[in-house]
Parts: sequence; C-alpha cells; structure tokens
Amino acid sequence: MSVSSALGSALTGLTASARQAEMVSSNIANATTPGYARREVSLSALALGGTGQGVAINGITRQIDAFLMADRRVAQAASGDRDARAAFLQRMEQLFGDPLDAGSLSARVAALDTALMEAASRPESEARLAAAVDAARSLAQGLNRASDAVQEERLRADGQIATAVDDLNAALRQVREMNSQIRSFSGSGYDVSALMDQRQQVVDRIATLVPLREVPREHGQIALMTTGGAVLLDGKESVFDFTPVNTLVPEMTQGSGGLSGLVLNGRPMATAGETSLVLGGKLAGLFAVRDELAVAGQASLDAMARDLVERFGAAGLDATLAPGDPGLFTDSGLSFDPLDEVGLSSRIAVNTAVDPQAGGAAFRLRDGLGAATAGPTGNAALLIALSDALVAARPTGSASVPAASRSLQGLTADLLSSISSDRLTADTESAFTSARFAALDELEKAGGVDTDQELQMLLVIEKTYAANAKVIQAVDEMLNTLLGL
Amino acid sequence: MVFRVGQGDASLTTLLSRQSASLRAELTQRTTELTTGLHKDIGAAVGGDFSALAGLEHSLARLKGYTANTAEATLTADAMQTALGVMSDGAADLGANILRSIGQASAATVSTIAIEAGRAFETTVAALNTRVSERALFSGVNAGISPLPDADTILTALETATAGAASVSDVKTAIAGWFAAPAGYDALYAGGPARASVPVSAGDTADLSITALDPAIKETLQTLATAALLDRGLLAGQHEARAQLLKSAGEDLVSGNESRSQMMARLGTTQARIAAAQARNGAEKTALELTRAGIVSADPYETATRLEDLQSRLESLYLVTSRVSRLSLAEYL
Repeated sequence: MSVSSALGSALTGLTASARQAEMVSSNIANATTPGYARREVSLSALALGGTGQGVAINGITRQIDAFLMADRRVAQAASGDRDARAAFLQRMEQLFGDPLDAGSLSARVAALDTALMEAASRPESEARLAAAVDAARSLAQGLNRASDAVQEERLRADGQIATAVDDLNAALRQVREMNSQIRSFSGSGYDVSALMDQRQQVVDRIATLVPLREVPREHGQIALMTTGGAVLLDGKESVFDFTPVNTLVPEMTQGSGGLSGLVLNGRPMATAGETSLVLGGKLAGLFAVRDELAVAGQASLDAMARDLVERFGAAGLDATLAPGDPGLFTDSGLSFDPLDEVGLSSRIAVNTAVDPQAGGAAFRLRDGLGAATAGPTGNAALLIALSDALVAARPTGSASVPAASRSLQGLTADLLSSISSDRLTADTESAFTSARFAALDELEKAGGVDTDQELQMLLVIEKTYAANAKVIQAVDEMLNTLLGL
Repeated sequence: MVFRVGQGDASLTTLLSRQSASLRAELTQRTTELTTGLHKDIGAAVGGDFSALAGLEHSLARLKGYTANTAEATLTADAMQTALGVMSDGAADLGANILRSIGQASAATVSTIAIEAGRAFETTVAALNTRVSERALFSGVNAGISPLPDADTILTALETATAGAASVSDVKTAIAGWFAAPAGYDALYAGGPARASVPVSAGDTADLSITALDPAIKETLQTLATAALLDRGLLAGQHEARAQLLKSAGEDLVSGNESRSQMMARLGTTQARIAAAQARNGAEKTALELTRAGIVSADPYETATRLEDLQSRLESLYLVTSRVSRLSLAEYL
C-alpha cells in the first residue's frame, strides 16, 4: 500500500460523494414530479489486483416497484372504464328526470293527465283544450329532446373514441422512439433514467385507455400488450384505426355498418364481449356507452314513445278516425309502424290536426281528430276517454321492455327505475375502482422521494466528503514531510 | 419488494388533497340537503326503484285535476239547484194561489192570476236559460246555446197549437200534444243530449245530466204555460171554462211538486257526492304528500349532525395539513 494509492482512493471517494450529492439534489428537485422515480447511486468497493483501491460507481438505479405499478395501471384502466359508463348512466337518469322535477318525462305524463281531466271538466273552454294540447306537445317534445340528447352522448362517445385512438397511436409511437433512444444511450453508457421516467409517463397515459402489461426487453427496452392479449408494441408499434362520424341517428349502429369499429393493424377487432382484446379501459368504456348503454337508453325512450302512440291511437277511441289513421300522437305526422320502432322517440309529434301551432285546431281534441267543424261545446266524452286511455293498464308493445300490463305512468317509472338501478350499480363499481386506483397510486407514491430522507443522506454525504478531503490533506502533509527530508 | 426507509412526499400530499376533496364533496351534498330539505340523490334515496314515488306524483297530479273538476262541478250543480229552486218555488206559489182564490173566482181574479202565471212562466224559462261562466246549465252537450227561446216565443207557438180549441179538454189535449210531439216543445229545445258524467275522484263521477227535456221540467212548463195562455186571450169570454182550466192547472202545479222535489233531490245527491269526493281528495292529497315527504325528504336532524361532524373533520384536516407541511428536516438544518 502506497501513499499515492491512498490519494487515489480518497479521490474516488470525493467523486462518489459529489455524484451522490447530485442525485440527492435531483431527487429533491423532483420531489413532486409525477412519474419521477427516485434515483440512487449504486456503489461498490473498487478492487485493483485483489486490493481495495477506493470506491466505484456502478451506475444509477431507479427505485420502482414493477408489480405495484402493473397493478396500479390495471386499476387505472378499470377506473376509466367504469367512470365512462357511470357518467353516461347518470346523464340518462337525468334525461328521464326524477318525478319531482317538473321537466321530467313522468311529470310531463302527469301534466298531460291533469290537463285532459281539466279539459273534460270544462270542454267548452278553448283555453283548457289548448292547455291539454300544450301538455301533449310538451310530452312529445320531452321525448324528442331526450332522444336527441342520447344521440348527442353517442356522438360525443364516438368523438372521444377517435381522440383516444389518436392518443393511443401517438403514445405507442413515442414509446417506440424512446425505446430506441434508451437502447442506444444505455449502450453508450449514459444515464437513461430521465428517458425512462418520460417513457413511464407515456405508458401511464396508454394505461388509462387500455389495461396493459409491460414486459421488459433487453437493453432497457419494453414491450407492451393489453391484458386481453393484443400486442401493442414489441419492437414495432401496432396501429389502431377508427373513423368517427359527424352526425349520429338512432338507426346507426356498429352492426348496421353505420358506425366504425376498431381496427388493429388492418384487422377488425371486437370492441365488446369475450373475444375483445381491449376490454377494461376507457376505450372499451366509451365503446360500451356508444354501442350498448346509449342504444338501450334509446330503446327505453322508444318503448315509451310507442306506448304513448299506441295508447292514443287505439281503434275505437276516436270515432272520427278511419282505421289506420294516426291518433293524437304521430310518427312525424304519419301512423306508427311497429317494425319501425327504433328512433320513434325522436320523431314522435302531436297530430297537427289538434295543434294550433301547426295550423290545427284544439277543438278536435274534444270533437275528434277527424272532425271538420266544431261540435257541441259541452261534449266531454272523448276527453274523458283520452284521460282514461292514459291511465289504463295495457300490455307494453315493445320487445325491449319486460312484458307486462302497465299504465303510461307505470311504464315511465319502470324504465326510469331500471336506468336508475343500473346507474347506482355503476356508481358503486366506479367508486370501488377509483378507490382501488387511489390506494395503489398512494402506495406507489409512498415509494417516491422523501425529502427528509434525502436531507439525511445529504448530511452523510457532506460528512464523507469532508472525511475524504481530510484524507487528501493528510496525504499531502505526509508527502510534504517526505519531500522536506 | 423494495424495502423502503422513506415515505414519499407526494404520497402525503395526494392523501391530504384527496381527503379534503371528499370531505368538501360531502359538505356540498349535505348543505344542499339542509337547504332544500330533499335528498340530493333521489335515485339513491329510493334505491333505484322509482315506481312508488312516480305513482305518488301521478296520483297527486290526478288529484290536482280532480280539484278543478270538483270545484267546477260544485259551481254548476249549485247553479242548477238554484235555477230549479226558482222554477219549483214559482210553480208551488202559483199553485197555492190558484187553489186559494179559485173558489169565488171572478173573471177579474182569473185574469189577475193569469198575469201572475205569465210572469211565473217567464221567470222559469229565464231560470232554465241561466248561464254560469258562459255555460248554459240545461243545454246538455250544447253548452254554448241557451236551451229554450224566450217565454214569448214558446207561448206564441202554443197559441198557434191551441188555435181553434174551443173547450177546456180540447185546449188541454192540444197543449199536452204540443209538449209531447217532436215538432212541438222538443223542436224549440236548442240544447243537445245529456252531458257525460265528470270524474270527481278516483272511481267516482258527478252526474249533471239534467236538461230542459227532463220530464219534471216539461210537466211544470206545460202547466205554467196553460195558465199563462189565459192571459193571452185563450178561451176569451168563456168565464166558466177559463176558471175551470185555471183550477185544473192549479191542481197540476200542486201535484207536480213531488216530481220536482224528486228531481231536485237527485241533484242534491250529486251535490253531496261531489262534496264527499272533495273531502276525500283533500284527505288523500295530505296523506300522499306525507308519504312523499317520507321518501324524498332528508332528515334535517341527521343532516345537521352530519354537517357538524364534517365541519370538525375538515378543521382537523386543515390543522394536520398545516402541521405536517411544517414538519420537514429542512426547517431544522
């Protein structure tokens, strides 16, 4: 052991301390940076020819817990999926409205009933008849608006899918580029931790859209695949294709070819059901909203519209109508065809014969839709029959609703209840997945930078640095002593 | 598993901010509930099953309709009862008057009573033509038109019908024939068929179907008209016959009291049913509103207690946040 090797060891110590201080400062600076993984300088004893020659810096290690991260990403995806569904069902429940709300569909049904009864009490009153026509129009318009809103939600989901697919493609491209940078930089011996942080942030973005698994590949590269098994990136990235639409009507579905499905590397991929490989993320949630939940919501509205049309269009109710003529409610002016139920709620309208706003006359509500001129003003028979028709229990015609005999109000309540209980379930699921995600996220963050710990480290580093400097000073004195002899 | 010495700073920040967010969300919910008195999430309050609540709301809406119906039916029935009362009182008074004075009837007395009969006939026709809020009471479905023309027109038609009748029995037959024939009284009736019964409560209807064609009304009008015609020169000069006709009319008026009372009693029953329905509807409305309140109202005591609790929790959280953020090694170095 020579004096000069002591000097060498002390120098390596100084370098190592300086490097450690650099890492501490970087950690503290990034204490709250999302996606930043805490760094540590990995040290080992330097040995030359079997004897210790100071300290060696092996490299920089990023402190991450891969298992926790994988769990967190799956939870994050599930939370995105459930949130999308719950948000839509909540909107759907609002469209029906709770019965206490004057604008709700069931309040509009009740208002029509009241208006018909009041008109029957004073059939000679033009104002009462007009009020009943207004109530009928308000109910039809309520259905129109709800139906339009459902289609808007579908269109929005369609647009969000397009954005999600663009994001997904862009993110996969970025991950591929970073993979190749990491590969070349780590090959040249540079610190690639910052690149890895960035890559992890991009992968996290993908993880909200589809649930994924990260598989390590050589030279710090990663491959990505969905938990369903679709390969997103392995050396080369996959490309998703999706074509959004500009307008959406109830008749358009993925099955009818009116709406785009998801295409992975040129091959169509199922977006729902067992065979789909992208289930469990926000993307699948949006597809579920567009193709399942909103379609079911539209079917509920159509079932209600159909019941309304059939109730008031029943043969024998209004003697002035010829068989096949539309009743009080029409399918955009025509009589309703049971084969054409889809989208009825967006087309339902009050018969123009009674609607003063459309050139009709309100007296036809009292005297019959086919009446040419006003009849006896005190005749309440038809008004009473209409009011009775509204509350009478009749078998629901739509196949989308469980068969039973209901009043119109009963049907509305049943449809609302079914949506509401779905919404409550979705809320519970969404709360559960969010809580799971939050818990895992917190656990992951607990492994992040702790400034107290870093400062403690800094104290130690300071001490080591001073000690190493002291060694150099001592060696210098020893050398001076030698030289002074 | 990596062995951890430290606890990441970000973990604590996230924890605190999430807790404060959830506390504030609950605070908003409870505040809304306290101010509106209703559950913020009705769907959750009814457990997703709206059928009971929607049924209640619909029943309340129907009760609102029934309220209008009973109010108007009461108005119509009362007005009808008043009109029938005018007719009945007039007929009874005239009948009593005729029977009282017919014993020593001079020609002048007969003429005086005939004038009185003319007025009673006029009053009765006017009463039957009463309109309440632009609705003729005894016109059936033709509510816009008065059921009868004025008294003069009816009497003129009767004069034509009785022209040439020389004896008391001829006159009586001619008048009875005119009231029975479709071309007579019925042709002057401008109203329509009887009105449909109006629903006044669940399962109960008010029958206000009396028209000017009701047998009791026709009978009264017939008798009053017989007496009134004497004022228009019927059987002029035949004092005996005139007195006899007046006497028979007086007897008919008195005997007709029973059928008039029956008709009015029938209407009275309807009035009672309407009043009963009104009371029942009122009670039902109160009961339904209580039930609805039980479903949708948030208990103010519970809400207030929760708010109090939330407040103390939020304050503690703020305290912890401020203390914890000062707890850093950097402060002591």
